[in-house]
Amino acid sequence: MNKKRFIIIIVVILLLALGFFIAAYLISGKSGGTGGNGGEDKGGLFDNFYPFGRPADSPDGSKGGEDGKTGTIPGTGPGTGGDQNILGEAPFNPLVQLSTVPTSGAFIFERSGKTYVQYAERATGHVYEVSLDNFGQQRLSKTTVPGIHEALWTNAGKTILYRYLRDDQETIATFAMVAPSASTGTSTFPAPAEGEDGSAELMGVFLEDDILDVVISHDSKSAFYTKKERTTDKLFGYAGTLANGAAKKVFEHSFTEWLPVAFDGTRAWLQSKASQGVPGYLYVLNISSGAFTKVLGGVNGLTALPSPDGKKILYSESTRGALKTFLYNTDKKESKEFPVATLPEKCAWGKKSDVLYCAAPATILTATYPDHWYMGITLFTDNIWEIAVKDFAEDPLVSINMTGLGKNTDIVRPMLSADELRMIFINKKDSTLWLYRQR
Amino acid sequence: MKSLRLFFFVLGGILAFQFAFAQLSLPGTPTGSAGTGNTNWNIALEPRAPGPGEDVTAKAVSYVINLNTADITWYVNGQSKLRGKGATAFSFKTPGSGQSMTLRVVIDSAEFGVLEDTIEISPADVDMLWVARTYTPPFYRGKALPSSESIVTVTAIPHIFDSAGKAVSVGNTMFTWKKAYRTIPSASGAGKDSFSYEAHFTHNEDAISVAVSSRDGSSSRETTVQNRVVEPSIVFYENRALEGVRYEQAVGNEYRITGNEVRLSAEPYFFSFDGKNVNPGKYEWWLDGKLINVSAARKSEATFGKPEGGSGRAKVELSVSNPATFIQQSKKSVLISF
Repeated sequence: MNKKRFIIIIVVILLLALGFFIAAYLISGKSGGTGGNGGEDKGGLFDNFYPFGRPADSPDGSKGGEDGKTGTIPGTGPGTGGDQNILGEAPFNPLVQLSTVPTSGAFIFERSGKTYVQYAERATGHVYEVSLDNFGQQRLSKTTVPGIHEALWTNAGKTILYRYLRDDQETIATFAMVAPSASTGTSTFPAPAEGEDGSAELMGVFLEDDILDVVISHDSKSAFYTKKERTTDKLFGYAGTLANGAAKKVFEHSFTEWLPVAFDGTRAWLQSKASQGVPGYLYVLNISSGAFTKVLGGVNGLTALPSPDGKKILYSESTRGALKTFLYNTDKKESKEFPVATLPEKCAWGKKSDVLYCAAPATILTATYPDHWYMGITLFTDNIWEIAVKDFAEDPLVSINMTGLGKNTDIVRPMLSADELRMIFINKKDSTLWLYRQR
Repeated sequence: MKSLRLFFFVLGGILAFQFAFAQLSLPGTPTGSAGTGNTNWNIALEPRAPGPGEDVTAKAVSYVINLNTADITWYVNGQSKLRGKGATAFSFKTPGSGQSMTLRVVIDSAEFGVLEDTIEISPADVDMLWVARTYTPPFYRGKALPSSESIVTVTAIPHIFDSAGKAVSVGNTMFTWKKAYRTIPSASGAGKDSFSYEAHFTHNEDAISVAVSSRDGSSSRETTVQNRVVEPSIVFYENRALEGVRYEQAVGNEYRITGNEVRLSAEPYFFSFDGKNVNPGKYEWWLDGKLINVSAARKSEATFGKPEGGSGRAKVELSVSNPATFIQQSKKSVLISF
C-alpha cells in the first residue's frame, strides 16, 4: 500500500470515529432525566466516565441549580441521565456519592414510606436533604455556621447537635438546634422561622461548653454525653432527648476517660479511652438504678461496639502493631475471633442484633492502633462486609459477604437505613458523604 | 493439792474448748456462707483469695476423719464434677468478675457417716484505670499517654464481696497503694480509691499496685499495672478557613499547597499542657532554617503563603519544649511544595 492510500484510510477512520461520538452525544442528550429539580446535567454517554459523579460545580460546594438551594449533584445516583450504557440500561452501582463537599454528619430516615438522608455541610453548617428515590437534593437551612466538626441527629431526627470549636480553637461548643424541615407542607414540630429564600433559620439552645463525647441511641430518640468538671476533677454523664437541651445528670465517676460507645435509652456502655497495649475496660450503666457493671476488662487497646440488645459485643484488641477483632457473648461470657479485623466503630449493627455491616481495611499495616488512626496518621482503604451473626454455638460463627469499593475510602460513622439494605457513611479522607446499597 | 487439781482441771477444760472452737473456722474462704459449721474437717482453697477466671484447688482437710478411705463427691453449682474414694482435692476455674459459684463437697465416711459442706465463691477483682494529665486535641477519641514528669491519676474499681456474698462498697473497702512496690501510707486507707503520682522519665515504666480488701478481711485482691512513659509528639493538621482543623488526616512529611496558602495547626500530643496555646510551652517555628514570628496568642499555628510566580519547596520545622519539666520536648518538620 502506498503512502497516499494509507493517509486516506487513516483520515476516513478518524472521521468515522468523530461522527460516532457526535451521534452518541446528540442521542443521549434527548433521553433520560437529570433525576433532580432543574439540574444542568445533560447526561448521556459521557457520564459513564465519571462513575462516582463529577465534582461539584463551584469550589465552595454550592449545589447544582440556579439558586444553589435545590438540585442534584451532577452525575450522582442512578438514572440521572448519565449512567445508562450504550444499550440504554442503567448499570447498578452499589456506591453512590451523596455529597461532594466535606460533611459533619448525616442521618438516614423514613418519611411517608420513602427514605431520605439529611446531612450538614462542614464549612457552612447548611443542612441538606436527599431523597434516596431520585437523589434530588434540597437545602433546608440558610444560616451559616462554619467549622462544624460533628453533627448528630437525636430526638427522632427533630434535634441536631452542632459541635464545633470556639474562637480559641480549644473550647467545644454544642448547639442543640431544631432540625429544619423539608418543604413538604407538613411539620410535626414547631416550624422554625423562615429565611428570605424560604429556607429555615436556625433555632435552638446552647448546651454547656466542653461536652467531651456524645453517643446517640440506636433508635435516634435520645443521647448520652459526658462532661468533665474542672473544679471537682470528675466525669459526669447526662442523658436525654436534648430537645431544647433537655438532659439529666445520671452518672458521676472519678475516672475521667470514659468514652460512651452505645446507648439504648436505658443503658449506656462506657469504654475507657483506648491506646495500644493499655488494658481497656467496658462497663454498662443502668440509667435508672445507677448500677455500673463491668462487661469486659483487661483487653489491650480495647474498642467496643455493643449490639442493640446488649448481648453481643464486637470488640478489638491491639498489641505490638497488630489488630484483632472478637465477638463476645455476654450470656455465655465467651469470646470468639471475628473473621474480619477492623475497629468496631467502623461497623453498624442491624436492629435485631443479628447482622453487622463492617468496613474493614483491605490491608492492616503495622502501626499503633487505634492511636494512629485516631490521630489521622494512619488511614485505611476499606471493603464493606455484610456479616450475619449466627447462634454463638454454631461454627462458623458468621456468614459473610464482601463488597470491594474500588475506591480509596476510609469509612467512619456508618448508619443503616430502616430496611437495612442501605448504609450511609463518611469517607474520613475527605469527609464526603456516601451511600452503599444492595440491589 | 486439791486446788492444784482444780487448777489443772479448769486449764484442761479451757484448752479443750479452744481446740474444739478452732475446728469450726474455714481458712481460705474468700466470701459467702461459712458452711454447716462441722468441727471435724474443712475446705481449704489454694490460692486462698482467688481472682476471677483463676485456677484453684480445693482440698478437704481433716485431722479426725480418714478421708483417704471416704467416698468424696464434689459439686459445682449443683452439678457433680468429681467423685471417688479419697478424692480429697478438686481443681476448677473461678467464674468471671462479678459472678459467683457454689462449691459443695459430700463426704461418706465409715466412722462419721455422711458429712457435707458448701461454700460460695465470689472471686475478688480490682480494675485499675489511669488518666495522664497530658494534652490531646478536642474531639480526640484516644487515650492521653503519660510523658516524663507528667501527673498520672490511677483509679481502682474493686469487685470484692463480704463473707455474706454481698458486694462491698468503695467506702468500706481498704485500699493500699504502692509505687515501685513501696507502700504509700498517705494515699492508702478506707475509701481511698485513687492515687496520683509523677511519671518517671521517658521509656521507663511505673509499676503502680493496689491491694483492696473488705474491712473484715474476708476478701482481698492485689494487682499491678506497668505504665509506660512516652515521648510527647507534635502532629500537624491543615486548618482550613471554613472547615476548621482537619483532625481526620494528619499532614505527613510532605505537603503540597493547592490554594494560595496553608495554615498549619500543631497539636502537642502528651505534653503536660492544659491547652495548645495557653501553656508554658516554648514554640519555635522555622522556615528553611530561619526563625519566624507567629502570634503569641496562637503560637500553635502558622500560615505559609505561596510566593508569586515560580515553584519550589520549603522546609517548615517546629520545636516545642516545656520549661516546667526537664525533658518534655519534641520537633516536627514538613516539606512544603508549591
